Amino acid sequence: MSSERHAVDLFDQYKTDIYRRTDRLFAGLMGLQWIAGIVFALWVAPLTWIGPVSATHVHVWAAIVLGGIISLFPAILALVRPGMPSTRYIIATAQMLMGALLIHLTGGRIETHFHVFGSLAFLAFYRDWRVLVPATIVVALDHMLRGIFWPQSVYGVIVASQWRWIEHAAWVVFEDIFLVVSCLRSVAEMRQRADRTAALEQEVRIRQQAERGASLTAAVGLALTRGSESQVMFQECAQALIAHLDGGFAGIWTVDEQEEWLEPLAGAGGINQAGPELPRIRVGEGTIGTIARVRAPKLTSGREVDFAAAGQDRARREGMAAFAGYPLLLHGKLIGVLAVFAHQEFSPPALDAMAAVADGVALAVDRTRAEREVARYTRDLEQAHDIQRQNAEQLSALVDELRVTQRQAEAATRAKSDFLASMSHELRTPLNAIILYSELLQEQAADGAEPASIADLQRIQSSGKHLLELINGILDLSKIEAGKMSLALETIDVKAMVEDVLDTLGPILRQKHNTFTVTCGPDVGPMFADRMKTRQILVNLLSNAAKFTRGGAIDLDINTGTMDGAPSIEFSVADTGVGMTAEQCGRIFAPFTQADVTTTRKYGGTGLGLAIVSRFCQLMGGRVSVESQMGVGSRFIVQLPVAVHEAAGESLASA
Amino acid sequence: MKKIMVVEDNEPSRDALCRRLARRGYHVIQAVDGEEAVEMGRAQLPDLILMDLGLPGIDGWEATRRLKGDDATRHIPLIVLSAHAMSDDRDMALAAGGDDFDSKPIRFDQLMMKIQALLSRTAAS
Repeated sequence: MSSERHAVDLFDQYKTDIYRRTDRLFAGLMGLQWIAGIVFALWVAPLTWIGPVSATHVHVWAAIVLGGIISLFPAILALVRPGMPSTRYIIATAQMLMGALLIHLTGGRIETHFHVFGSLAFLAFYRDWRVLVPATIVVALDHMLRGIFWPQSVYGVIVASQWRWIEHAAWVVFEDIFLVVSCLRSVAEMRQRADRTAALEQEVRIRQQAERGASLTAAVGLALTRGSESQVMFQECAQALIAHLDGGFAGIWTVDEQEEWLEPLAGAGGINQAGPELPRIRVGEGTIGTIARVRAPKLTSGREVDFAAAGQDRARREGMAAFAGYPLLLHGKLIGVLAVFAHQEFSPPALDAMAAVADGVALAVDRTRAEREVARYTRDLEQAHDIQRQNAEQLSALVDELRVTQRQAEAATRAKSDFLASMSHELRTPLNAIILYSELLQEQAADGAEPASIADLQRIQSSGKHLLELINGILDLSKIEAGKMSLALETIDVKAMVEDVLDTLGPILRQKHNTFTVTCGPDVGPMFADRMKTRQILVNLLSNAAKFTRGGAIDLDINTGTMDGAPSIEFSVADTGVGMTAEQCGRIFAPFTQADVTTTRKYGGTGLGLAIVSRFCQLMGGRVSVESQMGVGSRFIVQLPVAVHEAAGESLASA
Repeated sequence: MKKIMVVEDNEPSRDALCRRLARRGYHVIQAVDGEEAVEMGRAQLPDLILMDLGLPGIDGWEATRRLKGDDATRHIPLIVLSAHAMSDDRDMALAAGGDDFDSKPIRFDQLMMKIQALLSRTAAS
């Protein structure tokens, strides 16, 4: 409300108070004058005596009747309609008529004329100079008319000058001048007082508003810095807004990450003091959604707010006069919206305070989010740490378990190997006797020329040797698997070694009408390997070829090559024997596996030769492969590094 | 006639080996355990000893060490025979003082070559 308008209101109020007070004064005065009139009449014209009859003088009756008529109506008006302009004009008229009556009742004596001057002074109590106008007219007319037609009634003389009323009227006007000036001055002072009072009240109000704004920011600041649980903290902010702004209700929303929805954070006020059920609001919708989208504060009357939800009806129902909404911004980033509905318009300090509160709440929301983020991150880290620890424990348990399992496996392998070694020892001793005796008997049979038993004895001997081969093969495999097979590396003259092998195997290779050829590449030089094992590989492959070939060709090719980027030597043993299917090729390197179960019966052999070849190749870091075609022949290719490393077979030994 | 001492606890093996050596013209004496081998070696001073390792009482290792530790018998060539075909057996046999090693079952021709080689060596020296 502006100060000027308030001043006018105050001024009007002062005047109305004076009018009413003066009306009441005259209501009393009318009564007093009525009684005074009757008293004057009785005093000036007592009971008249006409012989035996005495009667009340007509003046007494006049005082009672006329005085009553004149004073009752305005007195009633003063009580029923105080302060109205018509009331005081009628009172002014009646007051002067009462003066006329009193003048008449006192016989027109000059003292009573002063009643007129007194009445004017009383009327001036109204501070309204206009009431003097009808009063003056009534006095002038009364004096003029009675001066002409009944001078005795007004001047107390039989004859009077026709113009005498002018003199009286002039005196009245003379007094009027002073009274009007006095009235105007008084009104002017009243006006000044109203202005001063209004200005003072305005200042007080502004000061109060500033104080309330300050107390609002203080309350919000306290709530935000108290660091209590965030929901409670923002609830306290909303309640502070209500308490310090004459707010109807207040709400705080936060925007989601996509800046699509405003989610209610806290609210206060409303129909029940528990706070309004705040709606979710889509960004851009309604007044609050628009504040979020344009990121600018909005100040409007409460009735114009489009809440885009049930709140609009509530704002109207509760007669909210003002609305202020602020975007919560931090470094230009939208955090949310703060809105307050109030019963009265907001003062500038209140708006300033709300802007400050919006800044504070934005900061606090951001801080709360950051804290929540940190808390979650910490929790995740702790969980990750827990999981890691559990994993580590599980891993360590697993490693322990594996170690035990490995130890058990090693023990089992060692036990098996020891068993095989000791079994082979036990088997060899009787075998030793069998072979020696069969050979002894062969010698004796030859000496004694008993050819019939020689063949039988040869069978015993060859069976014994086959059994010996089996035992040796098993022992070799068990040694490899127990990790006991070590490499005795030395420089080998490959050609010499091959010749040595052929010395041993030559007869076998050329029997069954087979042709045998050896080709050796010109650049094949010495190699660094285990002589025994390399020799064994060649012996096994060549005797294998001889075993399955009849009337064909067996070829040994020796060449240089590369394997895994290192120089290698390649031994290739090809035959034109029975050959194998692809399926058979796939399993011939496993122990005790010959291409066909009937093979053992037909060709002999232990089924361990190729398994040993394969293991020895691995031990020395080489490999063996086979190509074969059923009925056409087979080719075994062994690749060995030119320089074998000691560690080459470790992986195998520990497997 | 060269005298060969066969030390072997297994009776059939000992018998067969002795008879085969005898057929090749050697004079063969037999010991059945380590103690007897050491005593007989000292007493009869054979030209060559064939020593089995797995013996009752003092074993072939110990008997070899004693014979090779005695000035009287140190010069006698000694071939260790073992039913264990482990390569470290060979090394250990040679380390214990054996002059050669062969595995059982005996490949008789091979053994004969080793015997002849050792006998001709001592004859030469």
